[in-house]
Amino acid sequence: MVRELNVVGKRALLKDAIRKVTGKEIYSDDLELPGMLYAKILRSPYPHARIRSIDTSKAEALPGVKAVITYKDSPPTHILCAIHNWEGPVLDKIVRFVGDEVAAVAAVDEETAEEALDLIEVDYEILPAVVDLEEAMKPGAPTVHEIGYVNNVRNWEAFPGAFPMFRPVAKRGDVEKGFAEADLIVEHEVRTPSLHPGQMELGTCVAWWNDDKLTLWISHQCPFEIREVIAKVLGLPECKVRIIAPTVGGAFGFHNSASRFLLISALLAKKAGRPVKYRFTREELLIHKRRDATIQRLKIGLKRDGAFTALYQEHIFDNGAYGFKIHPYGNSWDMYRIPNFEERFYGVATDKISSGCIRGVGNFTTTLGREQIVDMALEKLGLDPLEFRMKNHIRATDVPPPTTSEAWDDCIRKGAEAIGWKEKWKGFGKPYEVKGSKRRAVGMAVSVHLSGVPTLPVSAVVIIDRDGKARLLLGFQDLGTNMTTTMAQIVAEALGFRLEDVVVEDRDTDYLPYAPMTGASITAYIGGSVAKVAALDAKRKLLDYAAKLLKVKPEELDIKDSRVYVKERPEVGMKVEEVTSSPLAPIIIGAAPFHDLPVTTPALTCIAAFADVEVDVETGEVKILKLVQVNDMGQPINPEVCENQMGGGMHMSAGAALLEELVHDPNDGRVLNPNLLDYKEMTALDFPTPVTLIADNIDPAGPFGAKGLGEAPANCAHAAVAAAIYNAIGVRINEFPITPDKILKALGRA
Amino acid sequence: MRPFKYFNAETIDEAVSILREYKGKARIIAGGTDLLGILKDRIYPEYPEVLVNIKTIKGLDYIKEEAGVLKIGALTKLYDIEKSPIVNDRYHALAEAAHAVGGPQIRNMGTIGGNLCQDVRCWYFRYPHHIGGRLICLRKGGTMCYAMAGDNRYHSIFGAVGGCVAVHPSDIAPALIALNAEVETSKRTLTIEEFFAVKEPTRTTVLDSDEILTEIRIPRPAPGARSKFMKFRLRRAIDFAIVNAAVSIVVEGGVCKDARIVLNAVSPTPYRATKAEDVLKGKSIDESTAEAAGEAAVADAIPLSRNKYKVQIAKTLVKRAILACK
Repeated sequence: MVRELNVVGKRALLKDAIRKVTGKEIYSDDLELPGMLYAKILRSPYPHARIRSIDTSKAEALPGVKAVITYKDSPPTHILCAIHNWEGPVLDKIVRFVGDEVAAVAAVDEETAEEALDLIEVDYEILPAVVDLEEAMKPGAPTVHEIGYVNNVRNWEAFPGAFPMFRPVAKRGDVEKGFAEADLIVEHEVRTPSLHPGQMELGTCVAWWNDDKLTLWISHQCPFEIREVIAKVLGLPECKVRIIAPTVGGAFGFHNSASRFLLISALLAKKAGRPVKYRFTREELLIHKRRDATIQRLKIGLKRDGAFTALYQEHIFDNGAYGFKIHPYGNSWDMYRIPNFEERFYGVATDKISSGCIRGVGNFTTTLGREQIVDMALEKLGLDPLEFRMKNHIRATDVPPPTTSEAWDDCIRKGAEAIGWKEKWKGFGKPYEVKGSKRRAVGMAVSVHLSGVPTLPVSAVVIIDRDGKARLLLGFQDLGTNMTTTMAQIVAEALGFRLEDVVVEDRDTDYLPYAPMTGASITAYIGGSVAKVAALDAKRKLLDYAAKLLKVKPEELDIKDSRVYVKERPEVGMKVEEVTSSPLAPIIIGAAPFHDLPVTTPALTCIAAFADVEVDVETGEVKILKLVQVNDMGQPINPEVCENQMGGGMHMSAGAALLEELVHDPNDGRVLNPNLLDYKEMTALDFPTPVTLIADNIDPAGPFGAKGLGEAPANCAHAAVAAAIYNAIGVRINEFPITPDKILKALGRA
Repeated sequence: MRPFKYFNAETIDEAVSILREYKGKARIIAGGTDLLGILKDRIYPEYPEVLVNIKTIKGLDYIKEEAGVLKIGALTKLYDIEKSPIVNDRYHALAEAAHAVGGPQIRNMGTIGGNLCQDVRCWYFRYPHHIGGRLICLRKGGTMCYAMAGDNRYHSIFGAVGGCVAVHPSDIAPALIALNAEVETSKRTLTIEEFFAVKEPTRTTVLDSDEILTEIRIPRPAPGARSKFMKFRLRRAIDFAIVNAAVSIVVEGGVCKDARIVLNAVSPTPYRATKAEDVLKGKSIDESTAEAAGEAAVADAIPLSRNKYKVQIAKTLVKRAILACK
């Protein structure tokens, strides 16, 4: 399809780039209000305990302390953020992990607040704790929660309202029948650790009550859902809660729920009668939320020619203390044509820090297990990994259509060429070069992610002001992914405006129409669509009025470069600002109460990743020599933004393959590496310059052919690196991250 | 952080007198790259009343050769050591060790004295107080080593000191031991090995609470001497060593006349691998003698539940460092 695009698809300058690189961007932590207090939180030393008594009198008596709260000050209503997360009451009598919130202090400065924490006397009744995922599932294990769980596994039946569409069992066909038809059956287990997303900004909340209205300045990604939860817990109408995010310095799903610290700040501010700022330390950030650790047990059935007969998967998922997942939101039938499929999902409570959404939920971990067992089966059958994947991926033409479009073949072809697959692929378990103790090999993997959930409510408004500039009012939040640039490109394209004539307003629930969370890779696809609908509505209204001025019919007109012109006589026209600033001109308001996307067929984003690695078999050291990823995001709205997303995702993914892991103490579950020295993200020396390529595709449904690219880029490179390591050393490592100790152990050297 | 008094000392004597006055309640600060983390995380129940800044003492920042001895002032920054032509020329292992510390920011703040006096990195010892409470382990006068029953992947493969299996993290220390250095303090002269020969886990050097390290001295290596430092870490910058190794070898007529082989991050104090040295002496340096020395270096290893891999890495580093000296 050949189309002319003027703004979409261009490498437009990122709207926030100059503010950020010159240090002028304002974050929540930059905010200072008159009379502001500073909060600190007292945290549990035990993985599981009941507070018998708590005495705050000495803390309250310390000069400079203005408010102390405990579970006694906590409203009884639980924090429940729709499908994301549940955190129980704001403060509870029971604590469920080392670091769980016990009490909080607001004082004139952080040092005084910290000193006051030492003066709070807590008498704990220590309760039996369970921190190991498999131990927790055994009958008779200590229970983390009293209701809603069976052997610490979340019971879907107990929370039906919260999860109407997501059940813990996903089934299609008959796996037993499928395995009976298979020529080859392989079974495998893969383990993945707890992970931290590594956002740069420390979370900060400033809470301020003006009479009976609460304003929160916070780093977040779902303003309206947070507003709803906070209003509910505090017993307020939603219009009495205002959420503002000055700028978000990275979110990754970490900030897509109404976390306790927001309500703690609000309660302290109410009690003290003054504004309160609470900000995480880096250590607190690292124990706040995590990507769940998983155990995946898989069984695959294939025909000799490489057709799937069945895939069975148990996905055991460490929810920690307050994680709430009951479904992985993504599984392998989104990737391959599998006639008989069954996945059983176990969301397990343990006395460890909570799991949340971190750049997706299940696809990131599922890919590691699935791609590994696929390779194991292909090796046994003597089949080619590229051909198999090209043959078996789902297609938009399948019935019913599983996706609006896909371009895996192009992803695989482009990636194979960029890595030099033809020269370097020597077969499974075979390096292409052996030099001393060094082995070099390539590996690849494919993956998938959803572009949002098209059934969620969403809206947008486009206002064209009297100076002829357009403003998009959109309730999503720019998380650092340059949404404000890409949405402006979409609106400019739809209106026929120059990009510099469009601004995007996010950040404030008082003045924006409703949008769901900025998560689930939703913004480009659904946000872009609703923005386009609003822009086209505004354009229609603008042309209606312009037609009167130009004395033609509206349908004879169009707009290009912010100029209205007569299509048949392009020399006749006027600048948009001349239309909007003329006397008696109406203010143009385009409104979209919903998007124009199909709601039954999802849009899936495709990925293929290729890795070239070197393994030192004497030390277990792995060097990534080259990392290539090809994404299909339909029409890229701004290729540079897409490449940034991909590079960041690959960095996260490669780190998860080789280094990253929140280490829990095996006895009390505490996080032993809650800092960025011991939690190891790759430095520029460890991570090669990523090769980011874009597949050729235009989605038939998405705005100007676009699909989402939020989470997908992290889903694949880790599996490609793992595959390459296997090809280098000939031993499969099924526990991530693949650190030197595991490699040496696999090689019989440790 | 908690409030504390801060003194800018102008002389060693002044610094020592403040240390004496506050008997154990004062801490020395130079680059601060280790101490600030300890203070921010409040890992000790007691907080120092006083910090004595010794950066304000003039004349402790130098690298010079005098009468066949290299002298380095305790306040010399790691960056300056890494870039020093003399050090690179004759004391190669030390230049490599300095370059291997942290990242550029750390090396521009951290001093050689601070690197030798730093505390261990054990994650139980360092658990931050504000996220659930510090752990009172053996190093803090407690009764339990949490690493023994917990996650000890980074801990000792050569036993404990007083029950503690935290490892000495310094990159500089093994290089100095390989180069046969001695240190001068405000009280006495010690060989570098004596400096680290602690018998209890509550400290990492034999320095008294009112004693300050002032100078490091290294004898000029014999003609034909070569030295090498190697570090294994998970990332190529920032990280402390999983294992590091420093080797200094004197070869005459194709035969190893003398060898000093040191491992660190493998034991509570830097580990001199004398058995490996014995294997090399009197032999020519080749793949098989280096391999045998590597094996000998870890002959006495007793790995813990999760760190057997460090034995393999230690063995390999010793072998490779020896071959690099060939």
